[in-house]
Amino acid sequence: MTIIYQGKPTETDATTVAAFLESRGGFKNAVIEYKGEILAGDAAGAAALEDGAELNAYRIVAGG
Amino acid sequence: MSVNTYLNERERRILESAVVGIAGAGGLGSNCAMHLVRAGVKKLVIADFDVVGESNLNRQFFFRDQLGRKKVDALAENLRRIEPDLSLDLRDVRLAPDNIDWTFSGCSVIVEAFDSADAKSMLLHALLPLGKPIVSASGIAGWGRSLAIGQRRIGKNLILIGDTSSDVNSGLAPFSPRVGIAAAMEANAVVSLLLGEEI
Repeated sequence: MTIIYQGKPTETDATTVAAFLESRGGFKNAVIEYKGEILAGDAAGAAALEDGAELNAYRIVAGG
Repeated sequence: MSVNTYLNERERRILESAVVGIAGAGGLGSNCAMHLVRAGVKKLVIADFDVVGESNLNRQFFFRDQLGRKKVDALAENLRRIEPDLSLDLRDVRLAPDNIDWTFSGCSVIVEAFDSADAKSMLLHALLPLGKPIVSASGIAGWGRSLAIGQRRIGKNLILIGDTSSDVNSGLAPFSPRVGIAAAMEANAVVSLLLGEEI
């Protein structure tokens, strides 16, 4: 399927958000936005990827 | 009487009645609190377990004669130099998933102002289910690239400020100008959220 990842059409065989993000280096310390909603905690792992859906991952890095 | 004499009656009432949570009283939190008080916010819940250290003075709203003091106490003292009539709920506590909920339960908006990525992430994941607006920062280390410090709304309740890449752990030090920009942007977003306007 094709999803919109970080604003760009992206082909993937992954079936869940977690599997897709793991294939991209993981999602520790990231805020995951899927179909306009934030996926927090276990929801990030459970969500099924849908063709055409928009997915964004925002890195949380140190500094304050 | 508000320290911010430019507010109209409606704005003054909204900002004075709001309770803003500040999670962390370091570079982001101390400066964000300062901006909020100058803007007219009078009720803050400030949580931090740390004491003022030498390395904090390059960017945090503390002074040399406050070294070794609890950050929440020193910050309260400094904020009251700006506006004596404040309601400050000071929590000398290390925030964790089991105390974040009740610490900020009375807040209208919460500012994430931690330093470490793990702590920031932990706080966000604990706060997001509460359904309250959260203003957070990621990617504020180093210097220059002021305009790379962006602001975006993620989902319904999260405002994220920073470039999401300038990481203290990658060798960039936190400097006052860039941390200060982000702290001011956090405060600016809080004021806009409270007044019901575009961030």
